[in-house]
Amino acid sequence: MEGKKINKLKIFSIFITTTFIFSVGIFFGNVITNSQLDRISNLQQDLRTQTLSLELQYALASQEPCNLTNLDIIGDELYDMSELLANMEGSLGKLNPDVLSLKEYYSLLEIKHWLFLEKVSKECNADIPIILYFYSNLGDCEECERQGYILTYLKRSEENLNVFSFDANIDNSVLNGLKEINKVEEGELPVLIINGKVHEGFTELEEIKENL
Amino acid sequence: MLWSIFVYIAVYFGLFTGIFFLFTFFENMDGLKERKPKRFPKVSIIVPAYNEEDTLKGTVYSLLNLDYPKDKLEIVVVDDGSKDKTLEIARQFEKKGVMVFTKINQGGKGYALNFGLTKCSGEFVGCLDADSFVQTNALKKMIGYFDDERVMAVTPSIKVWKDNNILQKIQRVEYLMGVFLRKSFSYLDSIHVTPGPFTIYRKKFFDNYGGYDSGNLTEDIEVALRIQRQGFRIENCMDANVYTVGPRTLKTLQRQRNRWYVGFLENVVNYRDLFGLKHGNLGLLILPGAFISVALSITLFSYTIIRGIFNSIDWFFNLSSVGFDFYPLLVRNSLDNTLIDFNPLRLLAVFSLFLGLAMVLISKKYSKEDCKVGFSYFVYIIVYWLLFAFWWIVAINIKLFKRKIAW
Repeated sequence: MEGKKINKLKIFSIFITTTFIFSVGIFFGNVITNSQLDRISNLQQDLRTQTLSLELQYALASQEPCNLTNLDIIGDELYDMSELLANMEGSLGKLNPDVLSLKEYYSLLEIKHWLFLEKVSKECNADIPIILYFYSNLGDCEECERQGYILTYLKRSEENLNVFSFDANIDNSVLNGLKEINKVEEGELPVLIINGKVHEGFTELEEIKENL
Repeated sequence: MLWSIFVYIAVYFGLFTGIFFLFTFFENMDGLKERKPKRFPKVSIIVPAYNEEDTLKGTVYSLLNLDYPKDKLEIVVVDDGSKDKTLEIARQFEKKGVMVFTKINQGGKGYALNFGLTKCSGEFVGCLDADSFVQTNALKKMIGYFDDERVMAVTPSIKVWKDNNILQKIQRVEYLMGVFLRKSFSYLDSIHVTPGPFTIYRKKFFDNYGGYDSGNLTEDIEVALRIQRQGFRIENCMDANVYTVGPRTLKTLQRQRNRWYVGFLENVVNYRDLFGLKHGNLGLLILPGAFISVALSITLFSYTIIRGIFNSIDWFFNLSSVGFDFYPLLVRNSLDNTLIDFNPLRLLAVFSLFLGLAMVLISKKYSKEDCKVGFSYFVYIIVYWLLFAFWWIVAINIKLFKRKIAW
């Protein structure tokens, strides 16, 4: 029984024990989080392979070039990956270099798939509805969250729709080129490009539907 | 960023205190040994009762059934001016040797207890609230602790009698947690509450240092702090069980907590000299720790509520943008989305939950409680900290704005 006396050695030992457990917790928490980053990276790699495979299928299928079946699957997975990236942003921070690097690569995959869809659309005379969405999540775009919500709703309710979302803050030459071509100004976010037509500022659900 | 740092500090504090108490408990396992009494001194138990017609009978029967020499046990029922049949019920026990008195209600249990003290002739004196029941062997187990002359009070383990609703289930876990903490506090000589249900005092303490502080909202905290200030000891007997009826509604629970927390604040201010090195663990760790935990809880609570309100507004506006058609949004992500967002903070929080569970299980084991707490603990973890912070916000508000509080 230690009674009224303060056992400094005990307090010190508990301080060391707590700090140790705390550090182990942080270490393992980070290990788990990083393993999730690796998983996203692997998923992106899979998507890259799928995209490439699709292009090759297209090139090889000279008889029926317009009968490719997994166009939608890649589009869906690409869009859903944005949710995983948003989760990682929540865990590691929006400015985490690993997250930013994954997002940059993700944007390039999106552009690649978008260009491919444009090509299929023209050459096969197919009606492929496409929305390009530029946003910012650094607190300078009040309506971006709501716009994203509407697009998720649309993507989930309309199977054929292809939505490609781009973080306007990512500094990448290809993405910058895309913004420049479409005259996307950061002050006008959110910006939607629906089947080639630019819509600056928040766009209501009905308006998007009308333009699709 | 700032908020994350704050949450990490809160988690570190929680881990530190949890490990500290567990460490204290396990390094003093000898203290769990039964203290067989060398003799059976006379003990007087006061039962203050105000409108307790529903529970008084059970309370007095539990005292009459105590495994203790009958000629050494004095039961004093003080009817505090009840408006129901409390007095009538109490009178039925007179033929069994129970002393029954009635007095005008002066507002506050302390008055009734002081009145009872004047009628007691025991060397030791205790109180049992008229909504509580004592286990047969409790007194025998407790009295042995008084062999140490420095011990002025011995507290039992207090538990909730029957948990019929969620609120009482939460209280059951809270009380079980209290059983563990009170034992740990006793090892640190830092018990700062000698609860109304069946704490036994050496009567000479009241003779030498005055009776209960009559008008005090929490006279049990006041007596405990007075004992500590005088440099005496308060012990705890972990397997002496007393059961009390936990408030059934949020309103009555809120009223009880208002009294407890405002009473705690008032008494700690009056006994502020107990803070500091002179009073050892109590002054340097336990009392300051109590205030730190309150401050952390209130901050976490406020942030969670404010964020919850803003998120709900966003959620409402987002849903309104899609005409409240939320069904498509429930469709699963097409990727195998088994990502578990286990950031370091969540991992540490889960670890802290296991520490809390360990405390509850230790209480169960060493106080010989066989109730199941699995579901109750789950509810407790989700709800209790919110209630705890809310009660404190209300108590601080009452103190700051000098609002009157009913006993």
